[in-house]
Amino acid sequence: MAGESVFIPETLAEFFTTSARLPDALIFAGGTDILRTQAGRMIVFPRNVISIREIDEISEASRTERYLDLGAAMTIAEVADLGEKVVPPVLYETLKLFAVPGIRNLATVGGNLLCTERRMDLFVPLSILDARVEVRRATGSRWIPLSRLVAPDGRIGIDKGEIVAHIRIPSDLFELNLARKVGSHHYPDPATGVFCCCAKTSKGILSDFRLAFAGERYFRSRDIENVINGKNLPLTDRDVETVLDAYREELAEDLGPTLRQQFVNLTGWALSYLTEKGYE
Amino acid sequence: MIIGFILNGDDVSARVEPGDRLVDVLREQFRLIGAKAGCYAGRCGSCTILLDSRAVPSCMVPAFAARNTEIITIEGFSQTVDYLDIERGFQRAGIETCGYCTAAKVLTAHALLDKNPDPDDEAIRAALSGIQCRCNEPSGLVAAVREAAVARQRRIYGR
Repeated sequence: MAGESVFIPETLAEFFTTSARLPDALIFAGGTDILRTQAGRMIVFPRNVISIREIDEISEASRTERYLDLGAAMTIAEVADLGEKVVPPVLYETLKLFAVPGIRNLATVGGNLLCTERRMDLFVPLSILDARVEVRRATGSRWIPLSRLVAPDGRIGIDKGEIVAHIRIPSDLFELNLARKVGSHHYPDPATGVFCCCAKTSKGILSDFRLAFAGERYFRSRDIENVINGKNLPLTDRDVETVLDAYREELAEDLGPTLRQQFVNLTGWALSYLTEKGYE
Repeated sequence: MIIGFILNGDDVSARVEPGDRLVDVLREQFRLIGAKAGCYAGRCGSCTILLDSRAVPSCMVPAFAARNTEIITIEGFSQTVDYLDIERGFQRAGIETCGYCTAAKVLTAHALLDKNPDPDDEAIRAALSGIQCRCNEPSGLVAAVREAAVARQRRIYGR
């Protein structure tokens, strides 16, 4: 372990000074994703580590009428503690499915989003809520859509010397908010996936339907969503079958057979809330 | 590096390496062996401590991340009046204390009651879901935490 150094800045200004000096340092937030894969007694870190746990500027939430801003270094438990009246329902439901409580107390929002191996739990609800991400650098900041933060091949959409500071969630009201997890609830494995769906209605019409699934692959099809958007409610059995067929076809190569069937089953379950029978 | 934190109410400091896990620092430098080093992967929960009043598996915390925090282990918690509520609840529900996971269950129950003084069964099960030891049936543990909640409310509110 000799030669490893840990730097613990207390402000973003200190962080940028340190990261300019050490551009290859590992940025450490909750660390759960790093530590869960290292069952040895000692943790193996790269030569330099910058811990961002003590930077208050990225550890707090703020709220306006139009959006909720989450600090990227907030833990999952801290976001859940904001309460179901503040946190959008589909995100709140996902937080309740996140690992075990002890891990929720350590894992951070930013760390969860920046996992490169797979899209983790929060990516799904935040993507269908059209969240945007504030990327700060020493000289300013930029806002990017969540979809540009991590590319499908796992490449991170931020440069060296930059940091994810906040996640901004629009305050849209959806009547239907569903989240489910398949596979292990506690630890990510190839069979684990998160499914989220939300929908708005207006004057008897399904006006905004959004649905996404992520495990080792992330999947969302706006084309299929647009097939069903604008349909009269309640949906007919034929409407539901058309959408399910479209997903079956689209997913043929994206997911393995088990996850694909689970996704289709969950989609059918979500759509059943919009049919005459409702969910039984 | 040397880090300072509050441990069971005392200001302390420790010399740690970047790769040290908090559970090992507590056990080896401070001889607080109530937190058991089990899986080193956050799965078994037997190393649970209270970090800034939240129950966390201390094997998943690098020691440097304890800087400027407040840590309570079972050794410190067992000296408090809050501990007596949990102990009473566990006794009334006939919980067997297994020595490996009990400290984690006690601290987790306290963290839950601290936040939610009257939790329902689902909340209790969810809170204890991170502790994998199977020396007691889940229904017995739920009953124990409910008894502890009653004991705490009686002590605080006299009802």
